[in-house]
Amino acid sequence: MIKKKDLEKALATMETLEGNYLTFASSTQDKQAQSMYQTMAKDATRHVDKLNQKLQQMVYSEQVAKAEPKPPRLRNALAAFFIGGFVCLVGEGFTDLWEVVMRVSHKKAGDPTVVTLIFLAAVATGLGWFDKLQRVAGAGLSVPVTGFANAMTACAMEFKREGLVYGVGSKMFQLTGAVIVFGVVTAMLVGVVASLRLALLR
Amino acid sequence: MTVQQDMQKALAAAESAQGSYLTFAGATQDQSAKQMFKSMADDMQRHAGQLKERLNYLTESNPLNQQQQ
Repeated sequence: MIKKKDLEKALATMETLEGNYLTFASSTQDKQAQSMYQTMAKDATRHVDKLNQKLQQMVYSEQVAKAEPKPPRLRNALAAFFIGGFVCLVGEGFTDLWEVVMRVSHKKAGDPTVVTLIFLAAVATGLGWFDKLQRVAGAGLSVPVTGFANAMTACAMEFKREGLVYGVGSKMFQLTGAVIVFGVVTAMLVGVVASLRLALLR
Repeated sequence: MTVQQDMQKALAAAESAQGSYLTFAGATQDQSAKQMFKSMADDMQRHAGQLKERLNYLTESNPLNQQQQ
């Protein structure tokens, strides 16, 4: 970063130099030297203009930085913390519910819970509620699995007009494709390692 | 103050300006600003050269200057 103070100093130097050149030009009898000094004075004038411009730019961007509203970080963090926590609480509630309803272990009941949350978020996105909620919640809604569902459904909706196959079908996973690809790849690697371990231990 | 001293001052000013411009050119990420400061530094180098030449010329050719020294 160029410092404003240094720029001002250079500007002052250049203004003095411009004056010096003009004095030299008027105090010499030598025509050649005179024209040389005049050209140099013109250079100095040009430099003064350029430095002034640069200085104005800096002052302007300083003002812009001052006038720019600061994002309410603390409020955003608190909202994300509590709403994200609430989403997790709802998830735990569903896990307990599925555990009883489906008569599976607590760990197994996690799978239908994820599906439920994705379903709810997808429906909320389709109805347009998700965007409104996310404006307040921020990361509280986009970090849990609800963010995944929202990104997927939003893409599907956006490309609806390009047709069912080429639009919805191919663009649905535009944002979330990476999650699926690397999820599957990681699962496969873990699976290979796990089965090797089992084979070796046998 | 003699003209010669004034010129030496101007020479020093041009050299210091050249240094400042080169510092600015190194300090900015903006390519066009970098280029501008570099060309301004070149201008100042040229000025310094011209002033030096003129100073030498005056020192050599002006008997008054020689007597003062």
